[in-house]
Amino acid sequence: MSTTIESHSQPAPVRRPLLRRLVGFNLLTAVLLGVAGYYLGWFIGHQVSSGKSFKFISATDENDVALLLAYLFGVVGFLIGLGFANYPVSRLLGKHASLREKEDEGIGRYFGLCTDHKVVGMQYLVGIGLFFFIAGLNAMLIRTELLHSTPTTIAPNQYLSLVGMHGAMMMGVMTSGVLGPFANYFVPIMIGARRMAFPRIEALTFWLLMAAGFILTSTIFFGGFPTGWTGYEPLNDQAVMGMDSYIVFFALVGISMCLLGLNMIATIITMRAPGLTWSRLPIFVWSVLATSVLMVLAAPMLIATLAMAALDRTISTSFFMPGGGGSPYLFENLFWFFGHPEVYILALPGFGIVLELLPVFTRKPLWGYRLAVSGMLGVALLSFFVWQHHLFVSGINADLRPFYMLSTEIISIPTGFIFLCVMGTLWKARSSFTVPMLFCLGWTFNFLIGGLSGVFLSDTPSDTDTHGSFFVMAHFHYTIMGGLIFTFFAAIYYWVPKMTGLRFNERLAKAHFWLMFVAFNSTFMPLFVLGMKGMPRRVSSYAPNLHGLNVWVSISAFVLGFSMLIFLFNAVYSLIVVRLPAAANPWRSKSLEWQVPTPVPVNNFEQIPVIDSDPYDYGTPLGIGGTEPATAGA
Amino acid sequence: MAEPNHARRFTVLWVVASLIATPLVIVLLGPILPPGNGSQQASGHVTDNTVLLAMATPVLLLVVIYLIYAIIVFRQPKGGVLEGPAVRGNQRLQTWWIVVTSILVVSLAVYGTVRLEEDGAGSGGGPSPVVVPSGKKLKVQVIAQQWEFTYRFPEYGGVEVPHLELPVNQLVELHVTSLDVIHSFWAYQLGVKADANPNVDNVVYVKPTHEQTFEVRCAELCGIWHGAMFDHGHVVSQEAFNTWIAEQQTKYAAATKALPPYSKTYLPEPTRRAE
Amino acid sequence: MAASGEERPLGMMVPPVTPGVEIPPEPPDVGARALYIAGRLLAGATTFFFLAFLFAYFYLRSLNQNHQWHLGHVKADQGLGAVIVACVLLSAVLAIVAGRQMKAQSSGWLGPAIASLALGLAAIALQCVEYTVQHFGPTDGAYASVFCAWTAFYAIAALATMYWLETQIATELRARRTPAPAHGDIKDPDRLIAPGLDACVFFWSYLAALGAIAYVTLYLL
Repeated sequence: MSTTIESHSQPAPVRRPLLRRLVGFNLLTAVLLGVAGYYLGWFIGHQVSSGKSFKFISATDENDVALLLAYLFGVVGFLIGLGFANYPVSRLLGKHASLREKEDEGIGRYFGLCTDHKVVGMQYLVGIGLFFFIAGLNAMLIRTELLHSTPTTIAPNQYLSLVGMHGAMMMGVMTSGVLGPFANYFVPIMIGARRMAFPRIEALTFWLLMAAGFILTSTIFFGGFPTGWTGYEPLNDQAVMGMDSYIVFFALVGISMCLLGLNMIATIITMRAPGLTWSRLPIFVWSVLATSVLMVLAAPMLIATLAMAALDRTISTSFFMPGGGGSPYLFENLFWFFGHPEVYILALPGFGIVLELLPVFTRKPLWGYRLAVSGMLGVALLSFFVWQHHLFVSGINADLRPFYMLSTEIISIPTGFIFLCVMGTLWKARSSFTVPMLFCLGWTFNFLIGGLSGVFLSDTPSDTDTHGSFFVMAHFHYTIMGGLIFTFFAAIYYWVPKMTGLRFNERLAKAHFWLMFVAFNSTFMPLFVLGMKGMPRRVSSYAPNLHGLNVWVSISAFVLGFSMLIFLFNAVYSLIVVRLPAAANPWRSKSLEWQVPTPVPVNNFEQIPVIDSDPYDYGTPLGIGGTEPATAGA
Repeated sequence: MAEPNHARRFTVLWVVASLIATPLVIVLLGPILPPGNGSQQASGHVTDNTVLLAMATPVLLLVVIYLIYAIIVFRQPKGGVLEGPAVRGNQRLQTWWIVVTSILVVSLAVYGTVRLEEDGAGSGGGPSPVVVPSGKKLKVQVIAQQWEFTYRFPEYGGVEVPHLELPVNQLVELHVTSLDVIHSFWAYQLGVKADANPNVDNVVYVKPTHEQTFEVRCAELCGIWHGAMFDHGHVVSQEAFNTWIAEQQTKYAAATKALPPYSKTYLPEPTRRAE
Repeated sequence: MAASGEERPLGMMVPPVTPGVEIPPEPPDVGARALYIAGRLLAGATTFFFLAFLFAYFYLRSLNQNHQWHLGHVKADQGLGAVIVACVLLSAVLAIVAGRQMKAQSSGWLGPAIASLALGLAAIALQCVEYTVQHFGPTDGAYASVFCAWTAFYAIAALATMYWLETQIATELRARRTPAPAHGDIKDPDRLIAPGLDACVFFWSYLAALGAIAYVTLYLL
């Protein structure tokens, strides 16, 4: 690490002795305080629940009070150790702390509370990558079990825990899959700002998410949880202590999401550079804005719901227990009121990335900018009105099903706008099929399949066949994995050269894309058939006649997993071992983030730029250079 | 250099492909679509699924053929740095797109509503469904618990049996409820799916149209043996059903006496985690 | 600076800052506008949080499962509840007064602000008192569950807002004690406090309105 500093031309930051560096607000302190907090909470939990003064705290063998308190105290200790308490305490005393933290360390900046949005972006990329990898491994184990039609490799309760962890981790941590790394890193640069509006909150969202991820992983020490990512009551209430991990995990994710969204909206509204009017805003920033609105409004609902579930589990309130006057329907309603916007929180950033990248690789302006914006905002707005389509067969408000059918069908209109914009941008384009472009085109196909299969689910009569089956599973993997993860990789291949100054090996990257695309379709396309043949979701035993197809799916899934290893190898090989240098603007992009030097200076801009056009100023004007005045379509 | 009329070329390609593919989909895929013709509701689903698939086919072809066309034709020459035309939109096309997609999705929703209100579509309709098919109904209560379904026949002395048999061509009124967590009663070949909630009576109608064996599954995650919550039911002739139910009544006479009286729902025990 | 083959170790992806170099300040109104927007967004998020409880209230009330919605002996003390909500509302009014005075450049805002803080804390304390004197606990039916959870989370939200208000007061007090600090952002305390106080007052008055809704729902209906 010392060579690191010497090779740099700038004056070397002050280096303190090793011991001094270990003492202070850093990751080590955070872990120590986190563990201490965990045991403190555990102790207090056992004290209060065995005492007689709080008679409503149930004394079961499984002490949920203790575990919940342990998690909460642990998280608080962890955050204090990172230094998140310093600012609030100094404000409490009337002092006003300086904005910047961790400014004088080299690589140490990445392992602690850092308020530089670029560092947070990198932290997110690695942190989210870690949990994406764990959740992916879970999927591999699930598919291993499904090689047999009866439980063989994995015990049924462990199987359900794997399903739950895979689902919760993907739906929880990956909500920030694009906004975390890429929006944090690039939104301020794209809008010509030097930082986010609330840099401390920005750092907080990351560390909350990491704490959440580790808490979810720790469920394996407490018996796992049987409910899948939806956590339905009363199964939730019946479950062992591992369920508390799920509750705390998702609540922390909710807080992180809510704060992330709040910060993004405040930044985008207030910190745009002069001249960057709403109609010049990059489309990616628009998608971040639409996503953030959903995050701010939907996530609190989740937090409240999980708080109720936690109270039911600990002090025996009866929100969801029918015998005590509660109702499981309440949980389903509240959960999906969050859950459906959540789905679009995952999908919308994908729209933004595809539309942001297409103009660069087609050498054309974005086709139908206003349409794309209204599509995203329309999706965001409508997503609050469709939640009961998850409950068509549940018996909830059966009379309202036509309304939810209509609202669900209507949400495909704004989604259709996005497709029209993609197609319009490709019209008479000069496309070069680089790796990010390939992932964008992959998105177009995958999301199309996902959207069209959604029509079968939004229609109550045919939903009767497909609800709760592998068909649904295939549908949302097409929209989320095909929609979010493909664009996530598009963004990695497109932007990591900017973030690191290094590029990926293109041959390996192309191999990754093609293997991933083929294996993805080969994995999930048969699942539509399996679902239609009557295979329910989340089962470890299934009808023997479906065995052949399941083996096919499993093998494809392993290939899909292998394609991720290619990516991982490529990342380690190209970015760390060989260190392939990237060109300053390898894609010849006209977007603002490619105009700043690499690595991006701490202040992003020496001088705040003045914007006079949108970033899609590509293409020859009409009628010049022998091009016919294009009519873009029929 | 004369640029070919891409718009016309693509439109022709798409229209021809759709005209070929859509009938093929209807004729070839339609009959094998789930869940078969086990009941009036199931046959309805096959029709619905066929209609949706027929509508989805041209849309799928539109985008896929477009993608392929664009990838093949609109390319950057090798090593080239050409720019595309600076077209930023086409108001007329956008308007038409909005109009057409709106009509398409609204008509889909209307179609779905009409089909739903016709016969309940085998989908759980809550405690008091709006649509009640006319005719004499056989009441069957489906009681879900971890991890089996049992069936109670209130019109036959409230006898509770572990396997389901139904008479053919008889409208059946299923009352789905649960004793513990949420389950979902899925009679695959009959096209029936209804969640079983504790303390909720979820009514669904089905009219089996021929004698058959059907699969019963649980379609909502209900704990570790969710996947094993599987059984076969039978649709038999009216006479065979009468014999069967009489047999069951004698066989389970003692058990029936010990059961709580028939009720629309039964409260799950314990009512709270602590107890 | 542009990319080249030069070795760029991982730690240097963002070049380190030389100690002492400050980020150039944002235009003064940016922070104020960001706080303004953040206050509104926070209000939106809080609305949805408590909406879950409002929904639970009416949903469970309408279902009345097992006749366990409202057990006979479950009776919230309307008088005590009224005192609590009165404290909250009065505190919010005082906060608004303080905000107005701050906008009018008057240094007299501190008095109403401190009174507002005291009343807010009193409301939270009274809420805690209510838990100890009421004759039912969260296990006594669905209404009791909603009542206890809703009021508890409301008290937590109020406490957080009171912390926010306190930071403004503390900043002002410290600035008065040391009138001319040589460094940092407190050169002009009003400029620092005004946007924070503005957002805080907005959020607190909004939360007070939510408190009034909670009172009507939980005690009166």
